Amino acid sequence: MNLNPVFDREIKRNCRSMKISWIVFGCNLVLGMIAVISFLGEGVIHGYMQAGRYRMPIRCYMMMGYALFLMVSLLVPGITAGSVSLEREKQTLDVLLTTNLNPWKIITGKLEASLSMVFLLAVSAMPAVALVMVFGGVELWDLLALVGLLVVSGIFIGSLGILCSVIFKRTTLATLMAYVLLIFFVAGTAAIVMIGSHIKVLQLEAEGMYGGASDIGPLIYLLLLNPFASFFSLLSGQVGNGREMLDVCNALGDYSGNFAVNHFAAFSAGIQLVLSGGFVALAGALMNPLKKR
Amino acid sequence: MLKIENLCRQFGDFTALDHLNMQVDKGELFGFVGPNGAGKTTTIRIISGLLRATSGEVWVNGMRTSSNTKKLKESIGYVPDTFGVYDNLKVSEYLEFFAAAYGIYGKKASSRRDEVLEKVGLLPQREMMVDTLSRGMQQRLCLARALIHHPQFLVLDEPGTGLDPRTRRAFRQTLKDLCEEGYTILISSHILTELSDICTSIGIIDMGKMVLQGQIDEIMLSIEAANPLLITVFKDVDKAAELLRRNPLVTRISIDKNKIAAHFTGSREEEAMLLRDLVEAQIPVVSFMREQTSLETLFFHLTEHDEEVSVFEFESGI
Repeated sequence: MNLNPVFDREIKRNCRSMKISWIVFGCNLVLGMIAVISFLGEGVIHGYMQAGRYRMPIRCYMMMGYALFLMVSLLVPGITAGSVSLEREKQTLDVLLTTNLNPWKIITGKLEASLSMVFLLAVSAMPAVALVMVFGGVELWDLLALVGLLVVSGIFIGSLGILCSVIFKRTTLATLMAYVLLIFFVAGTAAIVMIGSHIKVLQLEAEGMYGGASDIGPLIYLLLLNPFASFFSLLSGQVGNGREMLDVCNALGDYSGNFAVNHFAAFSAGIQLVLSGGFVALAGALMNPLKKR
Repeated sequence: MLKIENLCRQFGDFTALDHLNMQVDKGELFGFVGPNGAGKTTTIRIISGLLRATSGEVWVNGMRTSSNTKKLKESIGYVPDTFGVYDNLKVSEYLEFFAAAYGIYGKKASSRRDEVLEKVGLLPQREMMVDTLSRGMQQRLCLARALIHHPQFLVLDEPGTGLDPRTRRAFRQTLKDLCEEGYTILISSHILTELSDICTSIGIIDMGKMVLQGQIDEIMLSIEAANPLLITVFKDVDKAAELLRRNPLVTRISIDKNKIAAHFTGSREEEAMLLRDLVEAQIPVVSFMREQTSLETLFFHLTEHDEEVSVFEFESGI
């Protein structure tokens, strides 16, 4: 089977660029520092190899997981937001569009290339993250689930970046808008849910019911679009009691029997993949030079 | 090979193409000439499938471009006016990428890659990085890229821009060779002299309309036929003028010392007969020729606009 030519070309170019090596080195350095600080810090406080102290490696794993998510969130928009706009700026896009490659194939090639970056980052981080497996509490399947969700987040954030790259002609503006949209999905959705909850509380108080629990209803589903919420759900599920996300949601209404909230990480990953497909389809349609405007 | 009928393209209120009609026959090297902003790039972008026409039809190799996008892309090799390069990519990898973009892989791709590199004289630079090539080499690589999928029709949008005269000449020669190999080529430029010595046909576009189109030889002949005959005699100017006045094909003459300018409506053969009459009348004719007009003069004449009047009319609301 032949590779997508755009993906193949991007990989060749990336392999020759020192940028990728530095990014991987930087990310692993951060993870290594987290591990060293956690282990040494804990050692100084409680003494090395103290039996039964599992909290330290678990906390280290969580910090590494969130650090990986942060790295993907910072890197992927920067890479993907320039994928189409840079071709436009370098005046290579027209030539690309006159070939047999349709806009969707060009976009998926670009997305695959940025995903390979995420995958490289995740796989290269495995030895550092696997340190915690020495102490137990985290299994191989947990690590694979973490990598899987990292890839899903990469697809979601990457497709968002590519859509911005197609909409905005200049790379700087496309990059800025990709970060703005990511902030909206991470902080904005949480803020909307909080504001919704606050409005409900105010409504209840206006009706004379003080101290009652607010119920924001279907507004909670907005959190399914939040990649950080997916990560929180997965990591807390792996190292906590598994009810953390449900507890957060139940503070905003009664979601105990809600299937989506009970399987938050998997459900949100699915929703984000579907949304990514939508972003890619829209980007492809917008990139088609022969479309009717 | 190419047929355009009533092609229109509007950009808001601006009409870039106004019922453009043109035809390029198979095997032709067609020079598409016009001043800046005449509509050349818009036409080329529509032909190449990079822009949608507001109305009108374009046929390439008998196929309507609006309904046969994939086949159209396989028939056309497009060379844009600006050549963007990818960094960290070798010349061979660059061409292999475009071969793959047309569905050509493996050995077939590598043999075609070497074939087109040889055609444009870049085979020794095969392992060089694309971004380290000179501008002239990049332009040739761009031509090689346009040839990678065996297109029948090459569309080049002002490919000489930014090249030195020597490189431009070499590039023109490569185009001439390709035309001799059977490729049909449409090349646009705003510099007519650049095209007049290589093209078999030209089309002059101005303000979105085709103002002149045809075979270069025929156009030159028709231009020259409208020019006066310039006759220089050593002596007997009055005798020569009298003989010319008696010829029914001479409509007007003017005399300046021993030079006579005669507006002659006859054919080439009748021109020769007129010369014979002059010689038989023992008039010492020093020179006998049509006034020369270059394609460039014609181009300036055809694309001349009274801009001051337009501005005045616009500002005064007439």
